[in-house]
Amino acid sequence: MSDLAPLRLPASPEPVRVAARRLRWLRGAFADQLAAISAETGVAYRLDDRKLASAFVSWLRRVEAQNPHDEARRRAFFDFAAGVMLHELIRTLPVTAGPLPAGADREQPEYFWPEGFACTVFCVNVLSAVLAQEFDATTDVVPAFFDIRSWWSFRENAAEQASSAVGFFDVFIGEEPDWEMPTVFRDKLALRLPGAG
Amino acid sequence: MPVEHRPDLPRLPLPDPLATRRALSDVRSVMRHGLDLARDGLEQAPLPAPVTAITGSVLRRVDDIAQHAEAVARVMVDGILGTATASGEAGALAEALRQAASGLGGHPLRVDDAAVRVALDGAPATDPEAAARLMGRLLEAGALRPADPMGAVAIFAAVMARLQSPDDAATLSASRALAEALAPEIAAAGADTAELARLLAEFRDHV
Repeated sequence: MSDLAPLRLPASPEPVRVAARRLRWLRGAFADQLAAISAETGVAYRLDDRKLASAFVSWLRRVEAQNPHDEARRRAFFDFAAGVMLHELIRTLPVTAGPLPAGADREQPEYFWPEGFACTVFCVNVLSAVLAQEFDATTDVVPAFFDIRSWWSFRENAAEQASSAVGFFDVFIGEEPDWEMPTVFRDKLALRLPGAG
Repeated sequence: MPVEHRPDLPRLPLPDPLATRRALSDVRSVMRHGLDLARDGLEQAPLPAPVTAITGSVLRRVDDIAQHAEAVARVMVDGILGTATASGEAGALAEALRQAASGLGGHPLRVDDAAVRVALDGAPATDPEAAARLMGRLLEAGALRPADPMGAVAIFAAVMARLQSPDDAATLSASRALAEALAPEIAAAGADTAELARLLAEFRDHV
């Protein structure tokens, strides 16, 4: 798999940044993402609606509480919100992968950790759609995303502390990670503590 | 000669329909319990076969009377409440409750259509405060039975879904998933309508 599985977002009259804050849209988009990954990898996924709702509630409260409502910080906040979404998905794991297809190469991220890979691809794709709409910007993952060593580290760290997913998400989209307080919006913290961030 | 309209005439005092239905239901339960006891006694009693047959026939007749009483009670209550089956907003709310409650709770939850009609009390709730008050009335009226903590979750899901998009299955499904995720907070809120309104206001735009 040399590229991210594409995501056709569910139709919505609202911008993606708004639609993503509705559970029924998010659930539809996630199901579509899993179907697209399944088509490419041959791995079937099962989505647990209850766990997804739990992740969604927790994510929503975290990002609402830290939204700076500041035009200058919107772009950074969207990156942060996508990273926190990955954190909540990794913490609750609403996705369960079925058996790997015969001959699957476990040195490829999608077969090494199918659940983590699917959640990460989904968050990258939703962020990409938001940034394209809001800033006419393209989002690409860095080569480290396809390096199995990144995924060894990601999976091991996430098992110990799910919030490290935010840092790995930043790494994958080419941003500077904050390993100390990954679930705190740095730009907001910088406002409160001069010299921080 | 046209009949003169007399708005000042005192209205006929009608019994509380919900209380009437509950009372009749209790009578029915007592009758059924008595019948069960009589049947058990009949099976164990050393009576000659003809006597057993006659007594059994009498008990079946009593059972028939109980069933007729139940039917009459249903017709009476439905008549008092205005319709024989749930319709309009009450019917839609009852159906939403039925779907939201499906599969929730330790026992299957049953919707009491009469209780829903009584609790609805007029126009549909269109804001979180009104929806929270409606939820309180639905809980108080016993709209979902038997009593189960998940009943409140189902009611929360139904009223929140109807705040967003009445009669939309996808909205109700998402609302139910959200309500399940919020189950501890809904339970903690209990009958506190201010807290329930706060929860509804927080999540109504995120269904």
